Amino acid sequence: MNDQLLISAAFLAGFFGGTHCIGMCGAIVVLFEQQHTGSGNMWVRRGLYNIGRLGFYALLGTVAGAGGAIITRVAGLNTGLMILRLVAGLLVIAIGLNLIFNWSAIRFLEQAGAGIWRRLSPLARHFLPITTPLSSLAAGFIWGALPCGLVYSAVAMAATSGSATNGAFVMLAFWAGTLPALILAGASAERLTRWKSNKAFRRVAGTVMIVIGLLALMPLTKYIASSI
Amino acid sequence: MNSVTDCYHCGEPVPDDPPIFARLQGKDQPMCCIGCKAVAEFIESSGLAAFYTHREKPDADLNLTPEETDWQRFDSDDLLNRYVFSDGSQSEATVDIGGMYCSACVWLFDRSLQNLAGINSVDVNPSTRRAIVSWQPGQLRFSELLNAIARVGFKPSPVAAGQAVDAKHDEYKLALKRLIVAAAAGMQVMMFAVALYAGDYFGIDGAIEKFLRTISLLVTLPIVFYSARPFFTGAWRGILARNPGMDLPVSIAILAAFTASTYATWINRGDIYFDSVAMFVFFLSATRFLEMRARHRSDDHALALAQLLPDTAIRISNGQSETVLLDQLRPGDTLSIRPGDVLPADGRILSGELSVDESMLTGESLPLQRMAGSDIFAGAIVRRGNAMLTVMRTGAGTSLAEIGRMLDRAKADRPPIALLADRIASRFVIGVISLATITAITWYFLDPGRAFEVVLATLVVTCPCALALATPAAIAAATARLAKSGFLLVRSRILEVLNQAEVIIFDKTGTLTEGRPVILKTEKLTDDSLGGDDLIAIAAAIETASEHVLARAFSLFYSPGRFTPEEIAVIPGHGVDAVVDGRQFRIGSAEFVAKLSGNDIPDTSVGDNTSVFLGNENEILARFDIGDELRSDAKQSIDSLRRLGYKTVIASGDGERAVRRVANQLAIDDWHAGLSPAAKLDLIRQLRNSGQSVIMVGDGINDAPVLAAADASIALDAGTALARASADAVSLGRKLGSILIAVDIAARTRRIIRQNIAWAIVYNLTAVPLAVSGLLAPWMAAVGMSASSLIVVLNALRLHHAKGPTPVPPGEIAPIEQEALT
Repeated sequence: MNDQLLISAAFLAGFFGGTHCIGMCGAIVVLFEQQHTGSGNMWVRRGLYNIGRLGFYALLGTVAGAGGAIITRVAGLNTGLMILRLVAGLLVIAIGLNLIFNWSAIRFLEQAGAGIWRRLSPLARHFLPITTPLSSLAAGFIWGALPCGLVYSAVAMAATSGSATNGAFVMLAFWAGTLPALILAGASAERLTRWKSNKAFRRVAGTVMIVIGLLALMPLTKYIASSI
Repeated sequence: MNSVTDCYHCGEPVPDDPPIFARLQGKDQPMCCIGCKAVAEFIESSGLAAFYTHREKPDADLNLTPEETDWQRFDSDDLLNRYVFSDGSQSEATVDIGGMYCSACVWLFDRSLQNLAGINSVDVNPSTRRAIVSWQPGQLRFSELLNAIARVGFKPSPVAAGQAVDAKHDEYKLALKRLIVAAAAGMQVMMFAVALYAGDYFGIDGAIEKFLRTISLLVTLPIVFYSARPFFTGAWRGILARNPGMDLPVSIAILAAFTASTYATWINRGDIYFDSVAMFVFFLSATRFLEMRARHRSDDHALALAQLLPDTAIRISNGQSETVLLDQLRPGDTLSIRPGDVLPADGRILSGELSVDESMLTGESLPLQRMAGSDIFAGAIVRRGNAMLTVMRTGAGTSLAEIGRMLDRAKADRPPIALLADRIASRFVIGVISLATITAITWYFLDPGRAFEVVLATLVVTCPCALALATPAAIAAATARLAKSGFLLVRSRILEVLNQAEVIIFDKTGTLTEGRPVILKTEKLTDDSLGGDDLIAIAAAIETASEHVLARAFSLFYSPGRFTPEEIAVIPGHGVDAVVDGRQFRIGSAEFVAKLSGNDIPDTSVGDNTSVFLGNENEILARFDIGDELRSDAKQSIDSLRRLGYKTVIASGDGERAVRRVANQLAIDDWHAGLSPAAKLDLIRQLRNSGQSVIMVGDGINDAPVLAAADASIALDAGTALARASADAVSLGRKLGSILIAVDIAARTRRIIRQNIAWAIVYNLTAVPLAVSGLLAPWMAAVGMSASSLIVVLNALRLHHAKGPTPVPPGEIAPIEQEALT
């Protein structure tokens, strides 16, 4: 997958998968808002939570990108890349299946993520109630650590990007995709929630995710064909 | 497969796999995923579990009286008819949600309703705090719905919704959807285009290139056939009406570019312009969307006004209080008004005292004190106090309704400059298409391979959108901005006149002064048997017919039934003629009253105040000296207007002394006293004949013809008589400062319109030659044109946020006014 495709796949995954997050993450934003005691513009604060979240994602993306680069060194460029690509493609497809058939295929991954969250979430309590822009940022950063299969699929894509910088950019694109849904979480959530609980919408979003996953897997067939 | 349970946290269905639970407040609740479990446990462990309770249990803060929680009554047929729109299978109602202050509330509200069986959809508008709920009447009764809302802790009050509002709402939603589709698809097309451009540069595999081109085509489909549809219908309408608008070249460009690119994709050869199409449609839709927002924003004010009124009122009849619908109120009813109420009708206070906030009506933020005998208007919010109120006007008769109608009328009015822009745009379109044709022919001979691209760029780049959009947007923004300050434009031409005018003529009473006159002294001029008490009572009875500001001074002395005037004739600018107990009386100016008895005109130059005379056929009976205070910000406003270069003049029908006193206080040299309406008219004509442009400021009722004679007119504080105020603008506030704001906004509007037109001209002069000569790629043309229209619309929208001139220092703001008692 070339860079543009990877970036647009991450964006699309965020965009279509993101509406799914509102039910879960909407509560977080509402909580942050209920707990906040300082003054200031609500939208600025929301922006800050989301920038904080981007911070965590970028960190994940950098680590994953670097890790991916190392794996490709060790396993040989092509083989390594193909393994990572396979993982990324399958994860995205799994999320698509989850949306369409309501089948939680990647719970084991989320379970692993829940471990990280368990360690990080007590920290969040230090930042509540939110009083300063800095605490908004910090709370957002920890929000990023919520166990979420969608994020892990994006991280897998970041791992195939070839370098730490590229990995961060893949996560940036993913974050940008989720932004419309999550910045509106709370304010316009009513409309979006209706969408995502809508069967048809879930099917469309799921299909898009599966298509993205298949796109990611496409070069694999070529690779297999050439190595046979 | 669908599972039976929903996630306790997010409401998504729980997967069939081994279920997960989160332990919340000692109970295991089903969760759909690890993420939700994590959040739920986090919420629990942070001691915020009330979050879940809050979304289901009633709020303790909300004190509803038993009467108010009787939702059952809403299931009766006549109430259902009033509030619920039903087509058999689906019911819909608009409900005002009391107590919804934040987006979190909106979220909670929405969640809790979604869980009710039989709900189809819930649409909450956070800014108006209204929800449009649609449900299946077979499964859910209206009362159950209202009860459910109340249970979550909000106070529902159903609203009888108007058709127009829905239509506007739909227009807005549709436009937003089209815009979102254009944005989402456009972004993808751009991404593919970048990849393709990079491929051109670095080399790209043929198969991948074909793949990317095909994908671009597919993603562009919804842009062309969904997002761009309004342009096509607009163009078609223009053709049918033989008055082609800017939609025509736009449509031609979109369709031509799309068709050519589709062909190129099919034969796998040649340039594709999907990116240009996407950008063009997106930016144009965005520009239109913003312009629509500007238009609707002025409606928002009217809408907010209309929505201001409560649906019920508490009526007192035979000592019993009952809750009645607004429809059932009749003039003469007695209402009980409590703190926090919004006045349901125009009325007069019978007893009690209120502190009311009229900011929605007049833009004035300070609460005003209202005592027994004062008139108050529907839509005012009661801050403090209790009172009994006699209803005077209801429903469409109220000042509130009239303000709404005025806003509507102002929208229909198109100032000359907007008409000019329309005319130009239509010719411009024909010019653009001719130019494109000539370009096509020329390039066909020069370089047939590039002809298409160049023509496309020319069509796109010359779209006169900036020209056609900018002025209406600026006027709409200015209208909305001024309405917020309590300054209603009736004819938007006043925006232009305010800039050109050199002279502002003020009436005195009720304009420069408060118009809250007080009888300072009553002097009996006769030996007639009538006592001073009788004289003033007769005067008061006759003056009830007059709307002249001075007549208000008498209202305190009016006791119904004591004298009943008949054959009343109000002669504007002079006084009132009436028969009381078989004798003819006149009240008004000295001249007018003296004429009835043929006596000498009495001396009016006594004291500093205006004198009103009462007389009959035989003699002049009494003189009433009436005083009226200057408006609190009169001095400052007049000074500011002078500094801005306006010449200020007073033209008053009042006595010389009273006018001179005011003129001296305000340092106005040019003042005219004792003018009849005809004399005022002459004064204005004289000024206009000398080539000066004149604005007349008056109360809008007594000086209607005078107002009409000026280049533009402003009615100040027309109060109850709003409907008949014949002026180009009406200021609802009690301050002269609103004129300063209007002058300021008018200047900004003109500046912005000029900037926009200048920009449109400069842009076209540069861009057209570049496009015709083939120096612009179509995508550059799309960016250029869109940026150009976006710039002018955004520029116009700045008016919404215009601050107005520096506010009056706090110390000088009018104190809470008091109805003076003598």
